[in-house]
Amino acid sequence: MRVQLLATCLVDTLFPQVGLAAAAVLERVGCEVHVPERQTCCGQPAFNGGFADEARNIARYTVGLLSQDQAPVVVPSGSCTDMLVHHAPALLADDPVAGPQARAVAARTYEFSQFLVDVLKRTDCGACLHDSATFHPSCHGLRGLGIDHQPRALLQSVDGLELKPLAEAETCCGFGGLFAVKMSEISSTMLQRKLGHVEATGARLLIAGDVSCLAHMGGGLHRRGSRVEVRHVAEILAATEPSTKT
Amino acid sequence: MSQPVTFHRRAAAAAADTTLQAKLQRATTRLTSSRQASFAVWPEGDAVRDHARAIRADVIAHLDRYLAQFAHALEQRGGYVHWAATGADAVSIVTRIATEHGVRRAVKSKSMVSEEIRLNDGLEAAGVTVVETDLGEWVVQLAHDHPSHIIAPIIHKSREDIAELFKSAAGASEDDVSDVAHMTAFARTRLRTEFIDADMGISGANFGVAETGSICLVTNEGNGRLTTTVPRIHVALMGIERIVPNIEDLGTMLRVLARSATGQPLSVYSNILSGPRRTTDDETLSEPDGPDELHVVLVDNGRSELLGGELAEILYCIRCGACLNACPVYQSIGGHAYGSVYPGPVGAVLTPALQGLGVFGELPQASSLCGACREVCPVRIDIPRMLLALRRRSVQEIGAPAWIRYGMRAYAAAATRPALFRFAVRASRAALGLLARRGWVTRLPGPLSGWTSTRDFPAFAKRTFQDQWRSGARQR
Amino acid sequence: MSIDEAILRQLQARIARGAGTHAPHGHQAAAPTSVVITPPRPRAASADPVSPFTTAWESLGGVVHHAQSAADAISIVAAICRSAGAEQTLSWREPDLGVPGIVDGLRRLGIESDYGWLPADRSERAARLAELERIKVGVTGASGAIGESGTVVLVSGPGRPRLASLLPPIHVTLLHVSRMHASLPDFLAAEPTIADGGSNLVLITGPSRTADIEMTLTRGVHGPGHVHAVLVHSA
Repeated sequence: MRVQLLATCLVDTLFPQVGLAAAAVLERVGCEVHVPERQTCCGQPAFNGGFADEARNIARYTVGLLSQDQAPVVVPSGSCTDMLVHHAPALLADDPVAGPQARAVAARTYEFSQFLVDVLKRTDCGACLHDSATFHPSCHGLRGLGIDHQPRALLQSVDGLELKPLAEAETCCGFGGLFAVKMSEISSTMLQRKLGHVEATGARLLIAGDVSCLAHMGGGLHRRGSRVEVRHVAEILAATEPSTKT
Repeated sequence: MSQPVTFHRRAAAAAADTTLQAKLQRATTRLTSSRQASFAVWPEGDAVRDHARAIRADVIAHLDRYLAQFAHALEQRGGYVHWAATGADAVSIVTRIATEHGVRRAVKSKSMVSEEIRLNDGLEAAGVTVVETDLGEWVVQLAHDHPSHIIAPIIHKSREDIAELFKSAAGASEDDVSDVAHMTAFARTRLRTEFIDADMGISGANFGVAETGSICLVTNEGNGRLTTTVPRIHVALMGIERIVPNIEDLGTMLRVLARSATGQPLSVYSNILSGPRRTTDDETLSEPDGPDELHVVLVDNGRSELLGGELAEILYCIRCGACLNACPVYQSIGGHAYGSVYPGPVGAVLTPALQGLGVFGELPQASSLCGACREVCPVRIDIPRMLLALRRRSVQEIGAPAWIRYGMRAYAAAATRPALFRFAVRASRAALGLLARRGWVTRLPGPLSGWTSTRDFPAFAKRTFQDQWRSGARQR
Repeated sequence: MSIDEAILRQLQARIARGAGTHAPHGHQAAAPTSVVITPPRPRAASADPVSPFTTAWESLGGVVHHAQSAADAISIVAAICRSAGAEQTLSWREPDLGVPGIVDGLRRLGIESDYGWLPADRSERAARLAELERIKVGVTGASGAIGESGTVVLVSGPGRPRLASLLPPIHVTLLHVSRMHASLPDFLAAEPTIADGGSNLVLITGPSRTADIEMTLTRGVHGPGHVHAVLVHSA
């Protein structure tokens, strides 16, 4: 199956390895991965900030880009997927060209783990990684798209990965886009609470499906001098260290 | 209870207050787990929530019709209906009723609307002593404080705080405050005399029932019943949006309200009042007790402005407090920081909706849009949607700070022009590279410094994903 | 009618300005106008609501008694009064208690019933309330009960003072098991005009309580802290 990979702006600029990992996993399960050139951003920062015109323009651009190919769109981010699936069509509802485009794109856009489990019906992607980890379900994916059981199922199928439960897992990490900067004291309080729970698990890796959360939590962990490292779900699934079972 | 635009400062202070946070966490964790446990044993709960939402949506969509029905039915029962367009009108109406009846003392059971309109201040100015009777509200009154939560008004106070308060402001002895049971017994005894001496009882109303002209008060303590039975005059304040069509629909609302608020299948007292005490000339055919007069003051105070608009959905709210308990922002800062009668997620929409973004513009910004509120709301109100709508209004009507305004324009320009985007990425990478040490930036400049107060920021990758992909880099 | 026509027209106009715009974006659009709202079908009434009622009532701190006859019921009420040292009750009149002979029966055991009449005159009322305040046990009947939540339903009326279930620290409800229903919707379906019966319909679910102080549960704040449900099994 041919798919379009929309890396997202944060993956593109901060965590390119996540994009490469996502592509590798998709190829491993039999997809032909196409990366639309000139992709930029879904427009979420403008939308969340209340800048509707700017958000609409960006959404129009991105939706137009993704309409050049009819293949399903796979996005390694719950929040960006939520933007494309729910908000972009509403923003462009009155646009005679981009409106129908947005609705069509929304109907074939999936978050990365959602695509693997719900569309390709795969939970075992042949991944192998001997390590301990805990999983944080990012809010927009969790509540906007119902994404939780998919990444968990995928992670549970990773050979050698010890998954530890995270207390108050579904509580927001405090990123929230500009909120992290504008209301930084509140954001930090939420972050420290989350990181306290993360460190209490004793896990070495913190996994999530959104690099925005990972940048936030990773930045906090680094500041604390923690040995916990952040990883995107795709990076875990792409890992294929030799299995001890051979 | 409007305050100047200092939400951010209050929130920052609250976020640094670890004692407050411990209290908040204890209270909100208890309430959220009670709610969760309660819904877990109620398989039809989700269907009933859908139904509850449909009821509220129908009422708000036909509020004029239901209000007319309510007023007519209440008057048929011998009750008085008053319309208060503004908070000041409501205060005048209640004050007038009080002075006309020679009221010197009034007892009051919890009413958020009364706090919204600052009723107590208005009555005191007219020479009427008002005593709060809900235990938490009485504590708040003695302390000249404000409630910090819709359902649990004094979660910000410790038992030692309250013991001290009872001794200094209510004449309690050391024995009276020896433990929580004693303090509660002390409050009961002290407030009993207030009920007996009061000329008027003032209450809120959780719901008004259109078909029967009834009002419904929900309490766990019983003060709502005493307030509306013992004094001769009962005045109830109710927001115009609190209507339900009939008693059966009221039943639905009571079930979701109680489980969402405290995890109880029903609150201890669901008190439905249909007009005043029913009397005839024949004592044997008359009710033995109850108020001789029942007045319902319908308070608009900005609610009708929301009808037919994108914020109308906030009027569905039944004031259960579940969104407060679920909100990680509320859990971090508590109710006082919001500076308004309605804190938490509902307040972040309702307060600017009723009072304008000019004073309360920061509230819709104080959210990560995580959606926990929407998930627990008994009537499934989409609060994040309305926070975003308010943010849009804020940008249009108030304007964002300059750095955000210009930043957004620049970002939008780049995000629609890929060559410009690549250039901007290279420029940002270079700039951050100057600040970064070993892949991390520990101090971001200017308004971005909020991030690096407690977090590091990752440096940009040396090559973007798209560049790497284009050049054939693959992960094996 | 006390809401000005002009106000109602203005409300209508405001609502109308929203008609035709697309439904609020989100996971649940608002209900379309004038739709018939169908409640979820209530669970089939359980064969025995008494058992869930008992469980719920007791878990709230209430006491359940079973009376197989009027005489039983009278002894139970008398025993409750005796252990509280009460020689008086604040009570509903006998016809609404559903226990024939209870007033005389209690009187023979030294317990008088006060029917709670409150005068309208201000000073008489205060004196009367002070008098009623000294009574330790309130006795009422009930229009029904709800098993799911452990709730008793009381309607005020001639001979049925509200204060009987409110003022004294102990409240005894005499309830015929035939009037018990599984859930609130079941009860309201069976008694659709119940709220018309008096100026006050109250659903009582356990003893008065608060957790305002440090989330510590205390019973008997303003209403009764001790509640007894006497389930009467006879006709």
